[in-house]
Amino acid sequence: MAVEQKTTGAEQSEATRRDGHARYFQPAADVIETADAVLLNLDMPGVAKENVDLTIDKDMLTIVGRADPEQAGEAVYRETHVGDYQRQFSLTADLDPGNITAKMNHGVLTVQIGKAERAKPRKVKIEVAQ
Amino acid sequence: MFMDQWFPFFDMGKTLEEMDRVLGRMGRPLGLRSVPRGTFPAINIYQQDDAIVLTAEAPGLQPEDLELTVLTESVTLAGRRQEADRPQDNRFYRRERPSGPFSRTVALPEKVNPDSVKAEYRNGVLTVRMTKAEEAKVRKIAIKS
Repeated sequence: MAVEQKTTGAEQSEATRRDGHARYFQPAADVIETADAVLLNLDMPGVAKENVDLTIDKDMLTIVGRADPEQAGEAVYRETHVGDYQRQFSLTADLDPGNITAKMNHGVLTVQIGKAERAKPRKVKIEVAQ
Repeated sequence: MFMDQWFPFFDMGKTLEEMDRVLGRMGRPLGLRSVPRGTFPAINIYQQDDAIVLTAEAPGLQPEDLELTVLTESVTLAGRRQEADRPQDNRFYRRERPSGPFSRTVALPEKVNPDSVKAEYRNGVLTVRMTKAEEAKVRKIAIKS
């Protein structure tokens, strides 16, 4: 997934025009640490893969998902609003911002951020002094 | 093998300082989008002239994991959301996404024809389009003059 420029004013006003005022929902996220990486799983139902933007600016990871339009008709029963998603994460020095992959499937975005080499657990070999 | 140790080089409280910025527009921050327990997936029902359309936000499912039953006046949606694979040495630092089995039944505002149902699962949203039963359809009445 390409890393693009941070959200520009133009994109923000597009979100503003939708629904008449900008609304962003924070997608629910799981954050999981493995030996080599940190995984983020985000629920963004209604967002197609091509409508996800991942941006890294210094140590800030910003994820934006533009949702498919709402169903036509009058909502006679509503538990949720349709809207775009945004969430940000600070990446600490232990993570390598150059080593990020992302997958999007059935509305779930999985981001994998590799740990910087020096932050991975490693064995230290002890030499025996002669 | 270091995998069964507790990552001695990390102090997770400090190391992964994940900060969520709550995005607000117009000074109104929006809270985390999560549905209360017992209401996954979130369901909306829309009334159209000839049809009732139900949407359910259920990301991360395989379509074959979803069981949809449509009766004249209700819809039942059941399934199971798998928990992420978690080998022993992985750790959750944040866990907001629901998982496990679910089953929800909602009443429909009008009678529908259960034989004319179209269901589509796209980008994690299930959309169920049900044609209204004959007597429930909007009928335009011609005015004779």
